[in-house]
Formats: sequence, C-alpha cells, structure tokens
Amino acid sequence: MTLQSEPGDDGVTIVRMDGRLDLLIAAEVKQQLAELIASGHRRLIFDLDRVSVVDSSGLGALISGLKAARQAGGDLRIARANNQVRTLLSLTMLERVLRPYETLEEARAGYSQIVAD
Amino acid sequence: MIDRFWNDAVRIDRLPPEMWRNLFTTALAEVAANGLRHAYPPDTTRRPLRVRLRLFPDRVEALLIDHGAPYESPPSTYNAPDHETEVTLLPESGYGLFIARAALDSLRYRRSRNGYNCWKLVKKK
Repeated sequence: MTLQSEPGDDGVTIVRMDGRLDLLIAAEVKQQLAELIASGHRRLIFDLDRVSVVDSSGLGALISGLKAARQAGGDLRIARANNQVRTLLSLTMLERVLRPYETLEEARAGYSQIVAD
Repeated sequence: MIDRFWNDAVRIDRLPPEMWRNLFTTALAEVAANGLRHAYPPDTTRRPLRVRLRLFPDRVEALLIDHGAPYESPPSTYNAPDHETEVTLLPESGYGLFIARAALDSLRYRRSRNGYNCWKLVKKK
C-alpha cells in the first residue's frame, strides 16, 4: 500500500504517504482512496506533511478522492501541505474546494462542526 | 538537470526569489509529462525528449523537443471552480497545461516541418 491509513475514534481517518505524489503513483493513490471510501472511511484527512511534491496527476488523484468522499456523504481534507502544493492549488484555484488546513487539528475541527450541526 | 541549471544560473546572475524558480520548474515538469504522454504510445519504452534551458537578462526559456506524434489535443478546457462549483463535476485530469500556462508568461507549441514537436516556455524575471 502506498497510503497508510489511521482510523480515529471520531470517525475521521488520517491518510498518509511519503515522497512524490506525481504521475508515477497518482493512479494507485486514486484507487486506494476509492477503496478506503468504499469500505466506509468517508471522512478523510490527507496528511501531506511527508509529501514533497504534488503534480497535476497527483492533484487529479486528490480531486478524485474528494469527489468520491463527497458522493459517499463525507469529505476529504488536506493538511500540512508545503508551499509547492499550496502554489498548485492557488494556480488552479482548487483551494476554493480543497482548502489546505495548516494542522491536522484544524482539519479535524471542521469535521466535528459538521457532526454538531 | 533543472537543479543544475538553477545552481549555475544563480552563480552568474541575480534571479528572482525561489518561488519564481519553482513556478518555472513546475511548468517544465508539466509540459514535459504532457508532451511525452501525447507524443508516444503508452507502451513505448524509449521516449526521447530534448530539453534546452536558456538564461537571458530578462527571462528564462525552455525548449522541449520530441520526435513523437503531433500534438493534436484541444487546448485545456479547464474552468477554475468558484465557490458555487459542484465538486462532483470537477475534472480529474487535464490540469497540466493549465498549471503551466498559469505559471509562465508564455507557452507555445509548434510542429516543425521536419517532424518534431517543439514546446517553448518563457518566464520573465
């Protein structure tokens, strides 16, 4: 598995990977996100702390995960993205739908609000 | 290769901040990946691509040349989302050239008469 997933007690699953999320690995990441969501992990936080670079294919995989999670009634959030990733989100204006959270706690806080609402 | 280019470039010239270099590097990677994907069939093991990087007083330029099939895909039709955009309608591919254009001052494609593809990337200082 390229992705490591860590389900939490609050129903939020943290997803992690190392290195480059680029065209060589994007299809696999997309597949693994789809499988996670299909197996009931609908609320995901993709921790990008150890991801050095994301390219357009990697961005596609994240968007694919976001769509699958939303369709399943959940969400996919990203946290701890570096400057390169933030620049990519800003160039594509995808930050409007895939907001980069500074910390895991911030990304998680949004989820508890949804539950509370 | 690009790292070596920047290392050499900063030794002989004053370049804009690192962010500027990162944008150019990002664009170069996207155009190269896009070009190779379209120029050669997916199962091709050898997909040669020539890259020439040049530093000018006012800009940097990259020329990417391959001998594959002509690039005939339509220009990127990606529309950036706004806050109302339905997430499920977002595309999952086709971001590459959009990103490159946004990161550069100009991106041009031409097919030469002797049968190669040439992408020219320009970023002003």
